[in-house]
Amino acid sequence: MPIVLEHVTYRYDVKKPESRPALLDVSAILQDRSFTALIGQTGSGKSTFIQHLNGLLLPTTGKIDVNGYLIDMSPVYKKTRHGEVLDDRAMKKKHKKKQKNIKDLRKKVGLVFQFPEYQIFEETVLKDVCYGPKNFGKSQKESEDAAKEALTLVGLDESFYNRSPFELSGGEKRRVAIAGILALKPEILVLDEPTVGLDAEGEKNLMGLLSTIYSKGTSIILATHNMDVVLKYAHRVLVLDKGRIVSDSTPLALFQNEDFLKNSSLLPPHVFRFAMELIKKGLKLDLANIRDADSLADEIARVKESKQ
Amino acid sequence: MNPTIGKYVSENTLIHRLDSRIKLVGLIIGLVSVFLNYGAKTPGNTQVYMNLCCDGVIFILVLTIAFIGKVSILQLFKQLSMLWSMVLFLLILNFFFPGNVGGDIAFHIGDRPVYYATIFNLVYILFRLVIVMLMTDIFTTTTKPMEMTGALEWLFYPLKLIHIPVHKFAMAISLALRFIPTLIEDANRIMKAQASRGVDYRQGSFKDRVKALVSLIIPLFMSSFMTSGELADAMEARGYDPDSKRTRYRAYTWSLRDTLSSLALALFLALVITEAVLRIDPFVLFSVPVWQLRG
Repeated sequence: MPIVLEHVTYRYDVKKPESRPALLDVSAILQDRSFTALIGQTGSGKSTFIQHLNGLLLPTTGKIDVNGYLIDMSPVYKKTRHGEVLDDRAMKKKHKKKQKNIKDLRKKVGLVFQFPEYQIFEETVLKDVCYGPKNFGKSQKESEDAAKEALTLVGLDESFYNRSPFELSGGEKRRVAIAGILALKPEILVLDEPTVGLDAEGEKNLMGLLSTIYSKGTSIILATHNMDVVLKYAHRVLVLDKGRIVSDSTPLALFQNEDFLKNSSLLPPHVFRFAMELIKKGLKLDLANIRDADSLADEIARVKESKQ
Repeated sequence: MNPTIGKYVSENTLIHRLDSRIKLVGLIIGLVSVFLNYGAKTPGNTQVYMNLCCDGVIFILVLTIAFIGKVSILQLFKQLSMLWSMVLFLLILNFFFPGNVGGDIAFHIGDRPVYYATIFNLVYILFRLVIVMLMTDIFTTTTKPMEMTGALEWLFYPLKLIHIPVHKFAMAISLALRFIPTLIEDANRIMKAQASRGVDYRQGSFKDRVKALVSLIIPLFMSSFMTSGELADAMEARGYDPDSKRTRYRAYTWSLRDTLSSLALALFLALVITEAVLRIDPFVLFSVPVWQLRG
């Protein structure tokens, strides 16, 4: 089920029209069963974008359609002496109108915030993971089943169920928090910089978990600064700059476009840069095969073999 | 959670530039003067008319100060609209337990008589509350939080003589003030995270809402404890020693306007005390017919 954004603009401070919008005329279609990465510098609007996907923020103007759940803030214009201008009163009315059944949307789109461990509050791990499903009207039994399934998925076994979440390590806490969202069985999982603050091992585990979830049929949208992750896992990458989508392509195409990267002060991942150097030195590597260090090694081996 | 109430607004006016200690003392004098009785004493009762007149004078003074300090009076009154719950409470209280009975009856609600005196008393209480709110609002919108704590520290200076660590309290207050926006930010973040887990802070039964509040408060406490621990470490790492003698980043300089405003304040205080003690009441002196009210 696709997410369609049409001309979405968002201002944090609507009352000050001179304030720079956090999102400006963003249009995109996020396809079903896709693994999309969202990159851009700090303050480029990544988090704002993400919060629109499950209705935590409503667009100032624009339209969002999440598989039939419509948030319609399309602009209304009125004619004045100065030509057509935005009809403030009509827009205000639209914003005042309560979004119906926003919980349905939140159930479809699971959102994991940056440092999700802050959302933990129950006294045991199992109870905390059950909290989400229960809020969406599941029975105790159903919630527990969903919670156990989610905890198994994130790699926490039964020994954790009755422990206090506050005595766990940082990485474990984060996994509990992510399980708390997974237990809702969302059709789309949105994550805001999930690998920040994790060590290399934790990052690898988490990303492994995400590709497992992805392979089970959940779409994943990921805001990140980590280009290695983008190259290795994403199928599509959107680049945000000052609230606009400035590029929409595959990681391979993006990282090959050196001029664009330089302009948006982004660096391709180390592996990719290394491969580019090798190509410049005359090695005929196929960049499409390179996703991480291992696949680079394989590709070098393949090229060498074919030479001989 | 509206952070705009009583928030410092940067301007360059006489009131803003005034020494924060004078403003603090002025605020205290102002608050006291509103609640003093000025009317002539008659046995068992106080004449409230004179009180109302004096409070009216104070009200005009407060508005003048707000005008000089470029404090938006409209904004002030908008904030007063938050008083409505207080008004309702007072209305109910005064209706069921009227303090001022007797005199003329204005109208009946059911079998209960409502006296003019009760209504008058209610208006009088509200009037004083409004003045108090205006005063504190003016103080907070024209004084930086840091200056406020500086003034408080100065005011409590005598307590140092009995070995109360005033500067430590001042530091605690300024830190608390500094972290209010951070706390609001944290709360917003947690609320959004919990909303993604299906929490609705606005709807649901009372039990659901309490539970929803718990899901906000516990994480908020956890993160505040963590932040405070980290802050303490960071302060120590930069050499903060609570017992050493502290210097000030901001030196207080006394200027002519401070002297003049102190004199004006002293004059005002003198007038207030004189009137509160002598109770010169023209309403009684010239026998203006008034209702007998208990003040």
